[in-house]
Order: sequence, then structure tokens, then C-alpha cells
Amino acid sequence: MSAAIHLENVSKLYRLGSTRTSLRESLSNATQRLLSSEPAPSAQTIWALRDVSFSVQPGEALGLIGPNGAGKTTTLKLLSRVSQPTQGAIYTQGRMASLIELGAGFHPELTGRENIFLNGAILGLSQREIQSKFDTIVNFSELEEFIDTPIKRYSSGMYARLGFSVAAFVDPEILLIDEVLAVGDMNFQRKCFDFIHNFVNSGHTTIFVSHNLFALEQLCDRIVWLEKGHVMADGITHQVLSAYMHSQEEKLLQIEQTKGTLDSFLIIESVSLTNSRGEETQEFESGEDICVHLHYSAPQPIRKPHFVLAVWDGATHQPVFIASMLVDNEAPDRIEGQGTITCLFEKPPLRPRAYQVFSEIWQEDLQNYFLIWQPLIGFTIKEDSTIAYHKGSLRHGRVDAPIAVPYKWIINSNNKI
Amino acid sequence: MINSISELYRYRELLGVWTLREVRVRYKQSILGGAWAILQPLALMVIVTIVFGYFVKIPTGGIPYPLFSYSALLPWTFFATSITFAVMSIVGNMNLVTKIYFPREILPIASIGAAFFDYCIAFLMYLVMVFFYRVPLHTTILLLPLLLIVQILLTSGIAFFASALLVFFRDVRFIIPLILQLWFFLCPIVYPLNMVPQRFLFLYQLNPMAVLIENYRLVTLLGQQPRWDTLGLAFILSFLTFFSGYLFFKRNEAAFADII
Repeated sequence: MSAAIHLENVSKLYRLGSTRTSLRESLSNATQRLLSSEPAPSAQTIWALRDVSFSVQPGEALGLIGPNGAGKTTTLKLLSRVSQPTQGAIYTQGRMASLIELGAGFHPELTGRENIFLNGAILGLSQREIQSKFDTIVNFSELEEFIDTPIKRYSSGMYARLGFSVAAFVDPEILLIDEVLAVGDMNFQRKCFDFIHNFVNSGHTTIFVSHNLFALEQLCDRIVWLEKGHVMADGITHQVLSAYMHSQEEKLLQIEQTKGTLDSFLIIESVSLTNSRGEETQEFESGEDICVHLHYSAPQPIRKPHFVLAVWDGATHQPVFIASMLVDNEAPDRIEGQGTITCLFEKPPLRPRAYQVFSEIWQEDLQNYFLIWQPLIGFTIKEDSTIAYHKGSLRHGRVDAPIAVPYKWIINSNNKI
Repeated sequence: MINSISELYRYRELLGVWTLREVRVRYKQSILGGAWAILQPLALMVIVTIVFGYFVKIPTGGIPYPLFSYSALLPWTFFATSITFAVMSIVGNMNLVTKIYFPREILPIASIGAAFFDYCIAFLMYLVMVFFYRVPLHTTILLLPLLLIVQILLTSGIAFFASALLVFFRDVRFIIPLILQLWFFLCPIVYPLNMVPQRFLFLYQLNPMAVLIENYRLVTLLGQQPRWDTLGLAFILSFLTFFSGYLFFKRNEAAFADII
């Protein structure tokens, strides 16, 4: 078998509600079993994975998607040997490291330096290897000045940066990654993403779990879509991703029909548009910046609301372009009280006509929403737009396109006279 | 079993690093630091000297009572500290156990390793006392490592058993201190072995810790050979405890991450 990872009919059963057994319960269960022939009532169980099979070839980058509770994290736990499958078998080939928990075993009282050696050992590095990579690790983490400070004085961002930096230099043949890109500030996130990108591109086997569809699309060759412990689809990235998104949308429609009401905890008080000079308006030039401001009020704190904005063509009722926090993973950590979410659409090359701004707002779990495709405000692109009014902006007969892109013709003719 | 031990060998560096972490963490941010390793048996020695040496006047065969008790409190503290910390080692490192794979026995073994470090510091205090009371140092003290090996086998066996059991039954946390307290009086720590009635002696010496403590005294304080017969029995019992404890631990190891 040449696969780097191979899962064969893997199932995993979890027992619910029996996390804290006391000796007395277990003794009384045992006596009950002795006294009566009836079996003791078994605790509630759940199949986190059911008959899952797939393999990953060496050098392949595989993404795992699925809603919460689909079995993604369980799969990673089984692969990293933290947990054992109830049924089925798992074969792996090559040194494996997991970015499941950043900074595993970090102790707050120890310094950054001491923790690097500790964490490295937990991830399977020898002390000599860590010694030789030490400067690179510290460099990557950008924590040179704080390396001899106890990490209890670190901010959570610094903590995660140190954790990622050690994990990044384990240099495994197989890497398991669970949603760790949301670490540190934007710069460091970029760095992590690039690092993983390089890792994947240099022909390492990777399994990647994320809700960030954008990242998955960029990184993965193949996607396995899990749902309630079953494999729903296994195939080329863009095909599985679009099937997945389609099904999520359908689910939403179902929720919408059964629920029918909007959650009242996030209220959009008003929506306004401003142009590149910051003036409030509903008329824009073609190719001018358009800023959409959502003024909300949240009576109770809301964690990670995901905003999605789309500009729709007023004539055809088709979306023209979209900005989505579901895709770019830039949802604010927490909002409370009054505030504004602004999205700047840079120089959209729109043709003169009427448009509408639609929005949806998702809850943190990405299963429920506050708002679903509601038209919020309209605007028009002025007929006499002269800025960026180029040739493509002219209407051609009955064909009227919503956007205009500068173009030129290049003609290569070898006509002989 | 062989597989488990060879895997443990591959993770030996982690075992070393984790033991060092246990030692460092224990005394970081405490003002007295490593001095606590000496203060614990020393304070016990002072109190038992007052109660059993002066009030009760237990005969020790001419040995100064502080030295008599300290020579036994030293290995006892090592034993009790090891068990106390090792029991909590799996449950106390939940986030590690549920996230990263490594042989789990590293955690209780490291607790014992850290307690051994304390033992070594406290042993220096013993040398100071030997010097203070002008008692000769005997060459039989070189047999100490032999006794320590038997004690470590016994300790790890119990530690494996108790730490694994705690994952499934939280009651174990409360049972262990109780057992240790009772066990303390079932060992010849505050009294000499010859005070144990003859008819109970065989039963009494089925307790490996009692045998070990008596032999510690023989080799360190009295310069005598250990009692090879009872020590042999203690070794067999300790080895069986170790073997069955390790087996029990490895059998249940896979379920730790799911239960915790």
C-alpha cells in the first residue's frame, strides 16, 4: 500500500453523559448486573464517525469540511493516535505532526525558551534538533525580546505565535492542521498561511480542517466532506466545495421556512453609503469607491457574527460581487451595543443603472443567522459618469452588461495582398 | 509489554524534559524554592521527635531519635510525594492527553522522577545530621540504590494503577491520601521493627514499604547488611505490583482521551 494515510471502514463510538462516573454508581451498576439478569441501562452513545474510508496519497493536500459535529476533529484525533477507532483500521506512513493544539504542554511559569524545548519534545523533536532550530523558531515567532520572560506575561497572541513557531519547525512528513490559521494579528496570520502553503507546495502530505473555504480552496488538492460521521463526498476541491456550499444554502432555506423569524438580538438600525470623499450619497460615478456602512445595535454581546454583503444588479436581480466574512474569516471576535460595520468596495467598474445592496448575517456556529439575503439599500451609477467612462461602458444593442472593463484589441493579421 | 517499553524508550527525551518541567514548576514562584524538599521531611522529623521521642519515649536502641526518624522519613516522603503527584498526573494534564499522542506513562513516571529529585536534596540534610550527631558513615550505604530500585518499582506500580483509575473514578483522589495516612503507621517509621509483636511479624512484612524502611535503617544508620529474605519478598511483591500496574495502565490508556 503506497498511501500515506489510509482509513478503512473507521467508526468511532462516544458515550455521552458518563464523563464523571463515581465509584458508587459503578459499584451499584455492578451489583445490579449481578442481581438481575437484565442488562444495566447503557449510557447514551453517539457514533462520531460511521464507516469512514478514504486515503491520502503522499504529497497530497486533503481538506476536511463539514458542519460542526460532522466528525472532522474526531478524524484528526484518530489520525494522531490520541484516540482509537471503535471499529476499522487506520494505516499511516511517515513522521506525523499535528497542529491541533498550539503550545501543548506550555507552562505559564516557565520562560519562552524553556517552553520551546518542552513543547518541541512533546511534538517529537529531540533536544539536539530543537537546539539547532532554536534561533529560527524564535526568529519566526518575532518574540526575541521576550524569550526569557515567563509566558504567563505573554498576550494570547504572543502565546499562540510561540506555539505555531515551534510546531512549524517539527518538519514532519505528514501534517495535520485543525483551524489554527486564526492566530495572532493579520501579519502573523499571513505568515502562517504562507508557511502552510509552502509546506503543501513542497510536496508534503497535509490534512487540513477548516471552516475557511477560501483557505481550503487555496491549499487543497482534494476535499472530503463529512456530515454526521459519514463521508458525503470525496473529490476535487472546487467540485466538493461548491456542492457543500449548495447544500448549506438548501439547509438554510429549510431553516428559513420552518423558523420564518429573524433573530432579534442583532438589529440593523440603518444602512448608509458614502463615496470616496466620505459624503453620504446614493449616486456614484462609475469606478468610484463605494463604502457600505451597517449601523447595528446588539443588546447582548454576540461572538463572531459573520457579515456578508452583495451588490445585486437591479435589472437582472443577479449578484454582481460579494464580500463575505464566511469566506475570508474576518468576522469580529465580539460585538456589543451600538456600532458600525463598514465594507469598502474599491473602484467597482459598474455601468450606469440601479443596484441593490443585499446582506446576510450569520451566527458564530455558521448554522443559524440573524439576517438572510435582505435588500438593505439601493444606489445608482450616474448616466453622465465620465470618470472611467471607457469604451466597454457603452451599451451594445439589447445586450447590457452590468460591469465595464477597459479593453483593447490586438490584431495579428498575416494578410498578403 | 515489550512494544510499550520500546516505545517509551523512543520517547525518553520527552520523559527527561517533562521530569525537569515538573521539578522547575514545583518550586517556581515559591520563596524557599528547593528548600521545601528538605523542609517537608524535616518538619515531620521535628514533630515525631517531640511526640514519639520525648512524650512517648519510644526506645530506639541508643540512636538519637531525630536521626532514627529522619532516616525512615526520607524514603517515606519520597514514596508519599511520588504517589500524591503521580495520581493527578493524567487528569491534571487533560488538555495534553486529549490533543497529542505520546506514551501516557511518561506523566506518572515524571512525577516520580521529580520526587526523586526532592529525595536527593533531602538526602543532603541526612548527611548534615550524620555529621552533627557524629555517627559514622558506613560502607553499606552503597547498597542504597538497590533499595531505591525496589521502592521505585513499587511506587510506579501503584502510581500507574491509581492514576489510570482516577480517570474513570474521581473518588480515587480522596482515597489515596487516606490510604497514605494509614500506611504511614503500618511502616516502622516512628517506632522500631522489634516493637511489632512476633505473631504479626509475617503479616507485617508482607508490606514491602515496611520491609524497605527497616532495611534503609539497617544499611544507612546501623551499617548492617540488609535482611535479604524479607527484601527478596518485598522485591517480588514490588515487581508484581509494577507489572500488573503497568499492564492495567496500558490496557486502559486508549480510553483516556475519550473519557476525560
